[in-house]
Order: sequence, then C-alpha cells, then structure tokens
Amino acid sequence: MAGTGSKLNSLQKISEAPTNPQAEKKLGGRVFDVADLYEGPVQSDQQKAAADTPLDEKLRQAYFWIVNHAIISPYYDIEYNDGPPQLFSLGDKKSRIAFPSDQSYSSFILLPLLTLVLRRRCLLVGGPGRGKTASAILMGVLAGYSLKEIKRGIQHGQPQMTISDLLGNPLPSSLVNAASMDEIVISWRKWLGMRAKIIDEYNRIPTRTQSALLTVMADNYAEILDQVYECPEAAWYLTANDEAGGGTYQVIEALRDRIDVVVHALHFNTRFLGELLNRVEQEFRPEEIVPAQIIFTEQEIDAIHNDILSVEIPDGLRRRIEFFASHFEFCEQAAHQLEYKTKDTVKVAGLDFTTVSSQETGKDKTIDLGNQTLNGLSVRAFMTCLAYVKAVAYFRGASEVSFEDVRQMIPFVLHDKLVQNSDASFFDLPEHEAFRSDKIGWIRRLFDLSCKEYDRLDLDRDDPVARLSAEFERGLDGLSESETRKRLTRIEKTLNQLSRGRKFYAHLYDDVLKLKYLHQRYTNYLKWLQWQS
Amino acid sequence: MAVLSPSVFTEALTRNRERLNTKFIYARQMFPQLDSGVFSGCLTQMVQPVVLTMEDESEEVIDRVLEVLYDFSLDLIGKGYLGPKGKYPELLFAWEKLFCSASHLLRQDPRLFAGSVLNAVYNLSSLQEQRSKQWTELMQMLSGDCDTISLFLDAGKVAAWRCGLAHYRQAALEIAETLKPSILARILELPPEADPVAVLDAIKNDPWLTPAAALTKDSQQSQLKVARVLGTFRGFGGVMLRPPHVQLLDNEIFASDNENSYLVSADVFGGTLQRTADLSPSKQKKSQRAFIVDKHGTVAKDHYSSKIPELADSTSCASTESTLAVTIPRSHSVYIVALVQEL
Repeated sequence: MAGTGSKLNSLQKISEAPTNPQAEKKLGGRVFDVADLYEGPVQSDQQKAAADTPLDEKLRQAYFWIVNHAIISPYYDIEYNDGPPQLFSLGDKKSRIAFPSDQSYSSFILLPLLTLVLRRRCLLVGGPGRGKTASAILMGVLAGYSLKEIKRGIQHGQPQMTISDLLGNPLPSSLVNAASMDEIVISWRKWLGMRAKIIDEYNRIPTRTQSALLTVMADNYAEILDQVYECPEAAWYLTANDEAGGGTYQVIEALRDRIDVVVHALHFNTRFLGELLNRVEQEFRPEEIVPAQIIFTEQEIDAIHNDILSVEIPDGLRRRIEFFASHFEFCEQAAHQLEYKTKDTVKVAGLDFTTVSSQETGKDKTIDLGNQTLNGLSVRAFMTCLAYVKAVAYFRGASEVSFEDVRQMIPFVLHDKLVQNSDASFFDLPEHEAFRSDKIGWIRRLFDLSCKEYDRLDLDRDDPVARLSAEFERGLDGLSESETRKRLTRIEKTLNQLSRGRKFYAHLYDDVLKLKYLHQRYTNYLKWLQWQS
Repeated sequence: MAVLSPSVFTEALTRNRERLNTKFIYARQMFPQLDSGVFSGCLTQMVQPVVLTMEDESEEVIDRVLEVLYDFSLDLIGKGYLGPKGKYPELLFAWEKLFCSASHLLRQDPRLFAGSVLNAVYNLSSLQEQRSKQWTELMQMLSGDCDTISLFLDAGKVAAWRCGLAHYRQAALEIAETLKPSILARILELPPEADPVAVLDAIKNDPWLTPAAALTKDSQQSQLKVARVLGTFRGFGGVMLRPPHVQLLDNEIFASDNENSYLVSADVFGGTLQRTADLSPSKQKKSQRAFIVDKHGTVAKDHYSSKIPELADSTSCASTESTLAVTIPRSHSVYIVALVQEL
C-alpha cells in the first residue's frame, strides 16, 4: 500500500540525487505526518523541496543540468581517477589520451559555477561564438535573476564606453540645485547592485573606464562626484577573446590581477552537430527554463560559501602547496640582502628578469622550477588557490581537500598569475614545447615536478624547518634561558645543514627566511629574559 | 464571417509562446513518447477551462496559473499519469472538479494549490477502496467555505482521514478541532442542526463510533465483528509476501510478513497498512489486552462475545483498547475486529 508518494522531479528533470553517491537517509520511524498527503509526483512546494536538498547536492545538480541540457560541453578536462585510468597514445607525437576512472568535469562549466558560490572573478576566454557570454548568463539565472534583468545588466565593452556609461550619472536637477557635493544625487546603474555581474569583452573598455571598473571589482564600491555606492558581494564574469590582455585596449595589470580564475571556452565538437541542429530547428533556449530547484537564493550562496570555508586542508597537503609555491619568487642574483633576493626586486628595479638570470647557475632544471617563470605568487593568488581547492572538494562532497583537487584546480587559478619565462631551457625540449601554449598543462606539470622533488627530499617525514616551526608555535611562555639557547643552536645547525648543498634552490629560500625569523624571535626573547633577570 | 476575439487563454499562450514551446521541447527530451497532438488536446481540455475562469484577473496572475498548469500537464502526461491512456484518471477528475470551482484558491498560489490537490488525489487513489473521488467531491463542496489555501489544505487533511486514510486519524482529529464548524459538519456528513464539536469529541474516544451514531442519544446494539480486512497477497496487488503476523508496540499494531513491517491503522472510516522501519520480532506472538480470541474463532471483549469462524486457529493477535488485529494461516490479510455499533 503506497502511503507517501515518492519525491520525483518535476518538469525540468534534475539529475537524480545523489549525483555523487553518499550515504542515503534511511526511511525510518513510525511517525506519519499528515502533511505527507500533499507530497507526491508533482512539486507543490518548491521551497520545501529545495530546503530538503543539501546544498552541495544542489550545486552538483546545477552542474549536471547545465552539462546535460544547457551547454554542449562534452569535455572532461578536470580528471579524477579512482584507480588507474585507461591510457592511450595517438599519432607520431604520442598524444596522451586518458579515460578517467572517476567522475570528471568540464572546466568550462565547473569553474564558473564555483565562482558563483565563491563570489570571485572568472575570466572566460576564447574565440567569438563559443558560448562565453551564454555561460555567464546561465550563472546569472542560477543566481536568481530573470533573463531580462541579466541581459540588461550585462556591461558590453566598447571603445566609447565612459565612466558614466559604466557607473551612472548625476541627476541634472540635483546638480543644479545642490549647494554642496553631498547633495548631488547619482542615478546609479542597476547592475552595480547585482550579485552576478557580467562584463562582456572587458578588453574593449577604454583604459580610463577600466580604472573605474577596477575600483568596483577590487573594493566593491563605485564613486562619482564624492558619492559612493557600496556594491554587494558578487560573482563576476568577464569575457575576452584574448587571454593575454590585448584587444582594443591593453588591459591594465591591476585589473588583470583581480581575475581569480581563467577558463577557456573550448571548441565545438562536431560530433554533436545533431544536437545543435535540434536546438536551431526547435528554437530551444535552455536559459529560459532553468529549473527552479537549481536556482540559488542569496542565503543559500552565503551558506555554501561558509561551508566551503570549513572544508579542511590536511597538513601534509598544505605542506605540498607551500613547497610548490616556494619555487617561484626566489632570484639569487637579484640582491645581496637575503630578503630582497626576489623576482619582484628585479621587476621593481625596472630590469629584465631574463637578463639578470641569464648566467648559467648550474642548477638542475628539473628542480629549479622557478626558472620557468618570470614572477612569483602574490598573497592574493595564494588565497584564491586555497578558496578554489576547497570549493572543488565541497562540490565533490568531501569534507577535506584531496591531492587531486589541488592538482586540478591550481592551474586554472594560476593561469594568469604565473607568467611563463619562454626563454627557459625547459621549453626547448621537444616534449615540453606544447607547454608554451598549454598553460594549464604546464602549471600542472610544474606541480607534479614539485611533488616529485618533495618526495625525493622526503619532506613528509623529515622536515627540520617544520619541526622547529611547530616547536615555536607551542609558545615561549615559561621557556628558560638555557632552553632558548638550545633552540637557537638547533636553528643554526639546521641552517648549516641546508648550506651543505652546493646550490641555493628556491624551495630553500622560504625555509632560510623562516629560520632567520625563528632565530630572531628567540634572540629577542633571550634578550628580554636577560633584561628581566 | 465573424472574427472571434481571442480568449484570455489564447492571449496568455501567445504572450508566453517561446517559453512554453521551449518547455515542451525540453519535456520531450525527458519523455520521448510525449505526443504534441495529445498534449494540445489535453491543454484544451484541462488547462483552457481553468484559465477562462480568470478573465477578470491581471495578465501576471493568468500567466502564473498558466505556467504552473502547463508544467504539471507536461509532467503528468509525460509520465503517463494523465492523457488518453493515463494510469490515474482520478487526477483528471480532480483537475476538472476542483481547479475551476476553486479558482479563487488556485490563483492565490497555483503551484501550492494545484500541486497539493494532485498529490493528495494520487495518494488517495492508491487505496484499495478508491476513495479519491469521494475526497474530490467532498473538497469541491468545501472549497466555497475556504477563503485561503491553508484552510483548504487543513480541511483536506481531515477529509482524507474521513475518506479512509486511517493512519492520519490522530493528526486529523487535532486539525479538526481548529476547523470552522460548518466545514467540520460537512466532512462528518452531519445534519444542519447537529453540533459538530460534540460529535467530534465523541468519536475521538471511540474509533468505531460513526458520526451518525454519535448523534443519537439512545443506546445502541453493539456487536463484535470483522470491521476491516487489510492487505492481500502481493501477487494479487497487495503488499504481503507471506501470511503476516501482528504485534503490539507502544500501543500501536504492526504487521510483518518477515520481509517488511507495516503499521496497521483502522477505524470506522477506513483502514491502511503503512510500510515502516524494520521492527525486531516480538517473542510473544499473541499479545492482546482487551480482547480474547480462542482457537475456534470466538472473540470476547468485556461482556461481548461473537463467534467468527474465519478467525479459527489464528496465528497471531494484537489489540489496543478498541481494536483487535488477527492473522490466520490461510490468509495474507489482517483481520480487524471491533465493537461496532448497529443503528
């Protein structure tokens, strides 16, 4: 005897939950709720149905709906494996093809979706007509806006765009009547208040207007004539045909630096032309029928954001990320002072890094990964990496970040952040030539090489700097003078050990700086102890 | 030839043409058997009459109603629940009876109202005794007295119990206390002069007291008899794989066929078996309190006694103060025995 009806999907079919198998709730209990009378094959109360779905499941359902019904993107370039993948090679250049053994994803769909819930900034690049704007519009619909609102809110970059076009105008009457600047009333553009913002062809915006856009993107406010509009936290989608920041106007570096993740619009796979033909013939517009069950409220996005932040990064994995990031800033030739031995020092001095670093150092190129880049990583880049790796782990339903999460996400985040040194000999090798254009593959290879070196150094088990750091983290309270001296000696011994290596590799640089930091802290503490006594 | 002015229905379709067409295309991806001709016919038969009752409404309201009914039509026809060979003709019956007569409720929140009605009818139509039509007709009568959807849905819960969903008894009795007396009187089928609150109080204490019997102050003849037979063999459309056993837990009766367990609910209005979580089998097969059953099928309670031959050689018994459940080796059913008043 059927009592409660099964909860089936309504018209716009959402992928059956769980989209990533989890432990299911057991039906239990002997309590029958009379409200179940109104539960059944049609969705009578969409709010309740939405509330019953865990938010990470809803995010996955949104992803699969887009992939299955909205955007034809039959790619799985974010590969996960549960066991060894099937590997093939094709052609005389031995192009590698892998059939992943676990649920894998299309970056073109996944990354904008993660950007939506992280409220970050995503640049969609690719040739014209590849679905960049369509993808951004879908994200706007998922954020709860109507199609009309989104389309009217898109800012289209064009060479005549002024700051007023972008931000708004003072009301003429208030300009005339105002006795002071405070009294001027600005008619702000509606898009400023949206939680999903779309800037189409941002590289066609004039430089002066780009500066105004930068203020909104970076600091979340707009300003005209001393009047300020505070914008809400929002996800940004910018599109461009050229990822290098060229276009009608060169994109100012500060604006490019604010981009958190770069996603390539991939080519159209001609094997799916039939499906495209169907859409053309039937005038099928998926953005018009996005199911209500996968539209997120502002509160839901806030909740997802908080949940993502609480996803843990295991210490061992964090250490690998640290080790990877340590390769890139160091430039031994840049200065005498230890703290200034960075690529940034060279850049600020207005010099060319390749000239400064051109002398042969004798370093092993497979270890000296920093040689492949012209810059290091900023704090902002670190924070973005951490946010996206947590987000993808959350998306996959995990409570902590996995190694593969990091390996898959970092290339997209650092795509614009790590500038390639095309003169590096690494790229001269035939098997590495493709990395000149394939930045995603290049950064992933960098991470793999870094992890290889990390394993070779056995840093998981033998990391003296980590031991000394942990010792310091336990605090200085009650530390005696003799113990302090012992610790200072240990630090000096460690540095001596590190200096036994013939080459000063980049990954040692931050270790050495940390040792100096620890030494200085203990030295100051010792002086205080002595002063006290 | 006179030109017919477009109706609100055709105007609404025209306004929303692209969106509705896209929905149809999308639905056909989900349900390849969805036929455009059949669907158009259903639109005309089902949706048009409802929308035409809203001529006085704004375009916004009409569009909202149209979209919801269009979505539900696509979904239910696509799944084969409605349409020329629909599995649940009761849904069409409820649609035609309620959506027009209760359009004042439908327009308040189309999705909530229409969805709730359709789901309720779906759940009721799964009962053996096909009580869904009874519920629909009752709700059609009540809809005029309900000015909010919330009141309608509350009345619907009580009406569902009244139409045989006995497992909702307790909740329905609580809700019934909050209903308008006029609505309660209609649900209990009381004459105009009756006091529905007093009748409700009486039937609260005796699950086997009919509202009509509660009205008469004369003492009535009562007899122990089989009031309900619940469940049947799964091969015949029932739920029991084997002849079940019953037991009492926390003053509720459960039946089990060693594969699944069911809550046994029964009263004067109906009886149901509700699948529940697995229960640990009781060692005592014949748990009973107020009733006694002997091997010949004689049932006794207080000073009442009846010989019920089909209950001879019972395999298990369980009872509350008012209801006895008995199982026998030759049957996949649960026999419900109660002291039933004869008018």
